[in-house]
Amino acid sequence: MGHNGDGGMENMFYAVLALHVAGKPVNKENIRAVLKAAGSPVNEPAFDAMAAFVESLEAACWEREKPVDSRIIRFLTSELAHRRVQTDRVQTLIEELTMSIASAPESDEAVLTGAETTVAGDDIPVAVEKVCRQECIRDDAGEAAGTAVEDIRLLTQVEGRYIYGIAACTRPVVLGPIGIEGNEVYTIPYKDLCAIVHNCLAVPYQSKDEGTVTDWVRAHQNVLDRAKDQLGAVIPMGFDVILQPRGDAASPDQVVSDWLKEDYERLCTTMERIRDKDEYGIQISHESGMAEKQTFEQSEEIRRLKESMATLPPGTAYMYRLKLEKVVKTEIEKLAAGWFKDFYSRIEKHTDDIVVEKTKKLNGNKVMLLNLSCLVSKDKVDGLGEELEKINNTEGFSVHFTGPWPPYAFVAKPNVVAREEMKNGSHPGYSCNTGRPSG
Amino acid sequence: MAIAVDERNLKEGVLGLVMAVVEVIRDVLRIEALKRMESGRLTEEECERLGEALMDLDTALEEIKQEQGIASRFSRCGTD
Repeated sequence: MGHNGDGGMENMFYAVLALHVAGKPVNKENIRAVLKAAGSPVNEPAFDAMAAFVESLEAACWEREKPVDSRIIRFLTSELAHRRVQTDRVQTLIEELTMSIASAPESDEAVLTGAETTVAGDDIPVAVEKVCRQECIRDDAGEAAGTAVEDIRLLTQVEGRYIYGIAACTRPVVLGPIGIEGNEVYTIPYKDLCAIVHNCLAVPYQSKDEGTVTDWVRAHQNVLDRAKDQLGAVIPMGFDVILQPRGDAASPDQVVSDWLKEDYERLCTTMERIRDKDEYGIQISHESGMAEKQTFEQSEEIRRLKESMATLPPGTAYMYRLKLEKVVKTEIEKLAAGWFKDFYSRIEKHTDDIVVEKTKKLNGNKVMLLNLSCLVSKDKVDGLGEELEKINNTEGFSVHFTGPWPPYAFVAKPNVVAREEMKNGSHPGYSCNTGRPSG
Repeated sequence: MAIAVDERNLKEGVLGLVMAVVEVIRDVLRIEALKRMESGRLTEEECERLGEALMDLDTALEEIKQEQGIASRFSRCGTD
């Protein structure tokens, strides 16, 4: 049972995936040939069912007009990496699979009808296997690990580039494996600008697990910080901006430098604007009920209304209460607007630019009065800090000051670029969400 | 495609919605009443009657909410 049980099914599954990845027709003969080559026993009833199912799926569309779905590659890579226990068996199988596909044995012509010379994409099982080996036997890594990295690069070259931001730098720089999920981060230059990227599949980073997303966003932020230390001013991109070539016309690197070329002037203007400046987040909040309290104490009209209410018949008193509520609301708005104006003008003096953000709901008994993103030159930061200290010491108010951030709020959003480029046609497709890491 | 709804859920949902609509209407009535009072065209007696009617409406709404166990968050959405 051991031989024909789960292992048999699993190997059959891998055989199917390997055939698909290698771009070979997934039919009964090929699956059988691959299993045979791998020395894996065949569970006949399961084999029949699987083969019939896959054949029906593949019959119409095996011609491989589209590249292999990246989800499959992602799955294979992670699956193999996680199954350390069974790596011997799986590795042998995949080695065999690769050989039987790539080296076109004359013994079984049927398998390889239409076999082409090996191209980059067909090396995927090798690459997958090397990732696996690298993960499992780190001590032996040495030479094999080097080639594995090369192979991975080949594997992803048909895909996209994750863009962290744009720096002013003329030479290509490698920042190391500091990217999202430990990806190698490097720069793609055009004139005196360069894009900070890592190679990735053209699939947005999405997860329902908050921890995973936080890690990704932290990594994104970290790359921008490191890039700023090494390369100076950086125009940050939001999380999950991925450039991918349309069709097979250009390489992803080419697409990125084409984009820099196209958008060169705007990027240079932005770079000039943010040079030697950082973004700071300023949120000022006050205790809830504070505005109401002050309004009741200060407003003459409210006091008069309240006094007259005491002596009125119930229906009329109700009407006066409605009036009172309305007056109080207006007065509170007036008061808050005054506070806002005061703080805004005091902060404005110490900044180069301000974007007014939406206020957020706070927990507890606090109400957010203003939420600003400020672009501040290095020499103004101290002054700003002192001013905020004064505001923070004002009774009832508290200041939440964060930064320095990359100036996310002061660079044009990349989707604007995307739309422009779409109009011109034959340009990169974008997949982008812009978000700002909070913290 | 059929939507699975349990009867109690449906009742609560519809009631919540109805209450929300009624409260919106009540708010509009209050604004209109206030406008008329401020215009000075209402006699004292009319003003008293208007106030009482609105009070009764409040009481009735409160009673229905209590009876049906509808939390105010259902019926206050979007009226501020």
